[in-house]
Amino acid sequence: MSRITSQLSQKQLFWIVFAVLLAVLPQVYRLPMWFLPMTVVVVGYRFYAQLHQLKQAYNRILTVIAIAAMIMIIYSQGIGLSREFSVTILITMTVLKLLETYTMRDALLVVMLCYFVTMTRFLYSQDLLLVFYLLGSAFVTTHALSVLNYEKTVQWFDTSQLRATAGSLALAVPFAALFFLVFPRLGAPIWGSPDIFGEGKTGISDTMSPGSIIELFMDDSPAFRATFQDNKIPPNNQLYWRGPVLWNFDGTTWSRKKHSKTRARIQQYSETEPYRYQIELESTGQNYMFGLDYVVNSPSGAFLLPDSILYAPQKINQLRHYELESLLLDRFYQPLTESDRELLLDYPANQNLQTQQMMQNWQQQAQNPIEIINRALTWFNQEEFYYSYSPPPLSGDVIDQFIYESKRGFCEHYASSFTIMMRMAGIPARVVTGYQGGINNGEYLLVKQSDAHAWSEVYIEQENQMGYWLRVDPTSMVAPERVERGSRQIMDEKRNLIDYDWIRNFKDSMDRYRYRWNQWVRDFNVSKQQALFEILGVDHRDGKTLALMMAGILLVTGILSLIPIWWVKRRRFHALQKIYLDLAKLVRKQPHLYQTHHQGIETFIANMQQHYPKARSSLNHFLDTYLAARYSKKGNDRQKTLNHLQQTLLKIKQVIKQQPLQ
Amino acid sequence: MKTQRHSLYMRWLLKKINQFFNRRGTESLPVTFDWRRIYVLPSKPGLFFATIWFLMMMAGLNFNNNMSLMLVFLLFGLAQVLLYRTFFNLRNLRLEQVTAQPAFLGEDINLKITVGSNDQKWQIFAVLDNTETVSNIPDQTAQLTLPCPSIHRGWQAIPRLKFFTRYPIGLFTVWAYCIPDAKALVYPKPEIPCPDYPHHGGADGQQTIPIKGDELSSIRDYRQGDPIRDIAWKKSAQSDQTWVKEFNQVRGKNLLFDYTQMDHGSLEFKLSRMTAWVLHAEHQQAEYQLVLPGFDSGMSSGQAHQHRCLQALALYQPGNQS
Amino acid sequence: MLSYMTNNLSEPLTQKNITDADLIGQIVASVGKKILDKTEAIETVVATLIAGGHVLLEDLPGLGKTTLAMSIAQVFGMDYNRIQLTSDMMPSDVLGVSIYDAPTQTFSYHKGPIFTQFLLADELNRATPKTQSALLEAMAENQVSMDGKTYQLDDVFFVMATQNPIDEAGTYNLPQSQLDRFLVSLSLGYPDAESERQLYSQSYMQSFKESLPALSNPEQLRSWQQQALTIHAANEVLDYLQLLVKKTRTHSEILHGLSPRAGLSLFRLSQSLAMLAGRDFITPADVQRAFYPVCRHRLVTKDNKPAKEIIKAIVHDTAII
Repeated sequence: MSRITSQLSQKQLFWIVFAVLLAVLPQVYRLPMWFLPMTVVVVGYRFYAQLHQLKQAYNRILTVIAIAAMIMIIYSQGIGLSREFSVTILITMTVLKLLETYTMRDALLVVMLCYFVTMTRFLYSQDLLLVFYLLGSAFVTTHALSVLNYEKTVQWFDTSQLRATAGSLALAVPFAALFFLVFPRLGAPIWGSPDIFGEGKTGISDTMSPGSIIELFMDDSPAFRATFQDNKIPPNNQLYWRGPVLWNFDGTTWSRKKHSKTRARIQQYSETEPYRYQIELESTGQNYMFGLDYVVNSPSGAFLLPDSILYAPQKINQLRHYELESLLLDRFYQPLTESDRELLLDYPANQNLQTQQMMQNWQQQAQNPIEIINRALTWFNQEEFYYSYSPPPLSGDVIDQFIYESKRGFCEHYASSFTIMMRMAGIPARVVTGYQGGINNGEYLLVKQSDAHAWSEVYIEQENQMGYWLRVDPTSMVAPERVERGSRQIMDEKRNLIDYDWIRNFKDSMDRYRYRWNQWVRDFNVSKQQALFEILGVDHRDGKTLALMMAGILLVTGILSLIPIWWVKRRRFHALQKIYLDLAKLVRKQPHLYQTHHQGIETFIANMQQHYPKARSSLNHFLDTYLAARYSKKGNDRQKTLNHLQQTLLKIKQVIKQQPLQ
Repeated sequence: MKTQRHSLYMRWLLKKINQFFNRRGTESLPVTFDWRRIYVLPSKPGLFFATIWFLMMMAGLNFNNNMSLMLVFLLFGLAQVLLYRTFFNLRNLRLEQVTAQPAFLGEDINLKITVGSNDQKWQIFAVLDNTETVSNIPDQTAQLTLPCPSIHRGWQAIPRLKFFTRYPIGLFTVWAYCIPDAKALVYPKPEIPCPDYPHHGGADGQQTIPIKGDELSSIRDYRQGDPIRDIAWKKSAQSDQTWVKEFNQVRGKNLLFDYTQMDHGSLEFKLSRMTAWVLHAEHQQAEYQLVLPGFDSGMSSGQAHQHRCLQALALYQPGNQS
Repeated sequence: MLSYMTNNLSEPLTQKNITDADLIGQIVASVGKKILDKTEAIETVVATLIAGGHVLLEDLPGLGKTTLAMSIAQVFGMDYNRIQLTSDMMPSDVLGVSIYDAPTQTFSYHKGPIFTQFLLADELNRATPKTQSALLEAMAENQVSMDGKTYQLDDVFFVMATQNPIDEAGTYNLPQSQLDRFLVSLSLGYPDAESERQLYSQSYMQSFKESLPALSNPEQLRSWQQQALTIHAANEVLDYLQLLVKKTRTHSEILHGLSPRAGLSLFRLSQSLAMLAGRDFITPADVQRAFYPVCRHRLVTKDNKPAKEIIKAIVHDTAII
């Protein structure tokens, strides 16, 4: 292996590096820490080598660097056939490849890999905004290829070449759109499962420890969208979207109870009509699906657990749609088994003694559970409790500390404390996590991650083991506007540097497009394609039909993209030239005569006069008029002259028709 | 040679393909390359692009990742558009003229190729065997220069020319062939070093061995028989070799080179030697006369005369004495 | 000025302009009576005269060069001088000489044959380069400098120089820079059989001896020269003209293409050809007609190939639609 000097020009190198950086950039956030410095060093060295015409480094050194990078990746991400691992390797190797990009061949390889790198970004998210990334990266990469193939000028940003690349891409867009719709999709993956390469994202999880919800408050990305039938949307304070229900408390962390049964469908709906709605759930990486309290029945492909959680057997790693019916019940009647009752009354015995003491007092003084609940709520309301996103950290006896000392917190603190307080007072209670509220943008209700919420559910026992669940939201006692008008209203403090109302508003209105995007693009699949085919009148999805259809589409798109290119490349003639060509066409059947029209009208008409002596005078007249119209200084009435020429042309045509071909 | 390793069938196939490409035979110029004679195939980078594209498509389809598929289809559309662009970049290219300067056998013939077009064309390559040259046609016409190996003395037909382009991105190669109706004159290869002039006399029958002039013209290697007084002592002392000074010949010598009076050597050897004489005599600005069976140049000098003599030597066939 | 009536297309020319174009036509026809079958050459010469240029005639002896020169001088009513150039001629033989005049003790300038309106310089290539350049300089500057004084030539000054292309011995070929001073170069060539036969006829013999009547005068010629400069050229025509010029520069068989000055010559000649045709604007055909005479002596081809074929091919291959 010999060491070679760069065969690439500086401009070419610049575009290669530009393409690589742009392709890699949107993934930097999830790559290991050392990636960005490494990229800077690699790019810096490569440019330095180019400027000083250094030869390519020894292959041995490059191998060592590559192995070192591999080790670093394994160290920071672990080994295995995971999405993270493979994508990180691809990206790192693409960047490192710059070190040995000295020949045209390597340059082409790197640039084309950029297409692949760009694609890997979509394995993580298919957000609408990434369209700009798609187009931008495709453009820069394509232009890098163009510059590698041919440099029109030495300018780094040669506008004519840039325009050519942009034009090619623009012409490719309609083709891409058509193909997107009709290219046959796979119903199920041939290899692997979408979970491996799903777009994992954080949402509400099935445990709740101090501060776990706060991350969600910072996140304005959509959690799900709910489209209500007939646009009948319940009032904001009724919008409790139920997520994981937490039973167990170990002193700091809440967790779920495992169930082995499912809940039955609600049979009797008495006075209230159920709300019907469809939910478009963003991927969460969890099994939970959300519904308004209380869902009537489980949607297809999900279980309804006894605590009314919707549970999907597979993790939700892609956009998911489901339809639900909910009854906004105040009381949800359900029997409670003895073991469940014990679980719901459990609390760490030797912690939070002060609270235990208080609750035992309350229990003795109260007639019934409702009184205790009301007293607790009043207490939250009247004591000096504040709603805050940045409460002081708690440890040890967290409930005691919260209730008697800090008195600052958000839903998580209130729900957690309240539930434990109820248990201490002998009332079965549990924490429900989920979302509360949503933004109605006219066509659907947008629920964002920042709408995450936690509340309590207490069980009011009645005779013969029957009782009902009652939802209690202690946060509403502290910050009623949270529940009335949504989470945003109570945010006085800025969550981050660019947290302004108008940005949030803009983002919310953008969601409308995102919704469409999800409907039409992100969630396009076999079934939607089939529906589309049916509209087109093709309801057989057999191979032959599809092949025919593909061929047809190829032809149509081929012609579609051919036309504009041909249109640009065609020769253009002005009106006078066209008339001249019309004249020439009169004798097209005599190639020898016809050919002479290239040599100008005077030669051509002289030749015509030899062939058609009878037309001599009208040809002369045509010539004089034509020459004057086209070449003289006088700007005469153009339209009139054209008409006159047309008439003369007709006369000539008649004469020529009469005279048989010689 | 690679072709020798091909099987019989492959060779037959290649022959058939070439017959197809050459089906138009030699053509008189100008020739316009319309769509009927333009061929298109993906280039090597194009094949690599296709491979990556295929992998991307499989991944996108497998996981029904719609944005990936969007990119994939965008690239497919792009490839299609580029195919057209590349095709239109070559379409209606006019091969207007191919001319060749006379060359000596063994040297390359310089082909001057004039191409034209009504629209702008970029990165048009002209290829002959293994050499290629590139040009743009920003406005009507452009010229390309290609070296073509000389094979034999006399008129040599210009071989098949290939014109291709990969503009704008290089994913496709679009090409066309043409065998232009043009030929190049190849003079015999001059004998090097130039032998002494013949002894068979000049026009006036006088001694034709060049008389040394006063002007030093060049320095060359020592050859047996060079007079001692011509040795360049200074230079010889500085190197291992012995150098000899050559002096310009006095103008006005009359030299006669007669083919029939040369008695030994093959035909080509004689022509080669005579070519060297003609060149040398012209270089020395002497007047000379070339006599071949059926050709007599007359006593003269100058570029035109030299060309006439060399052409006669190039085209000389022993049987043809008319 | 020529102009088209735009509103009434059936009446193309105004009365006055008929006179101009027709008069030139009559002149051409009149000369044509003496030089048979050479209308195009005569027209080119007349057009060169109107364009204010000079003509180089390359022909064998006996093809009517002198007749052509005399006839044109006659019809335009110009002063006419003829010099036969030989190798022993001195510049003073052409330009004139200052002679010491003893009585007045001054130098007095005796004008040479160049002080005329129409100069026929026969066999220009026989003169020594010194004489050639003296003549050509005077042609270019329209004046003679002698002993620090300048003497203006006539406003209307036209040189028709001839060269014999065959006799090469003892000639001094004009260098390219000097050739450029001639607007056009022509070759009359042999007349066709019928015209040649006419030469022998009694009536032609008769008319040949008579001198032609003057149909015009230098004054009018000067006004025509002014008029020719105003002939309009549309952009399309200029594009075409430029393209032709450019093609001579990129052509593979041409060593040196047309210079910008040659391009200007092409333009000027096209203008006067348009005037001859009775138009006040140039058409591509004017440029096509002007192209060969302008290129003929200017283009240096490779291997001394005849320029005519190459020039014809350029015009033929350059499409104008």
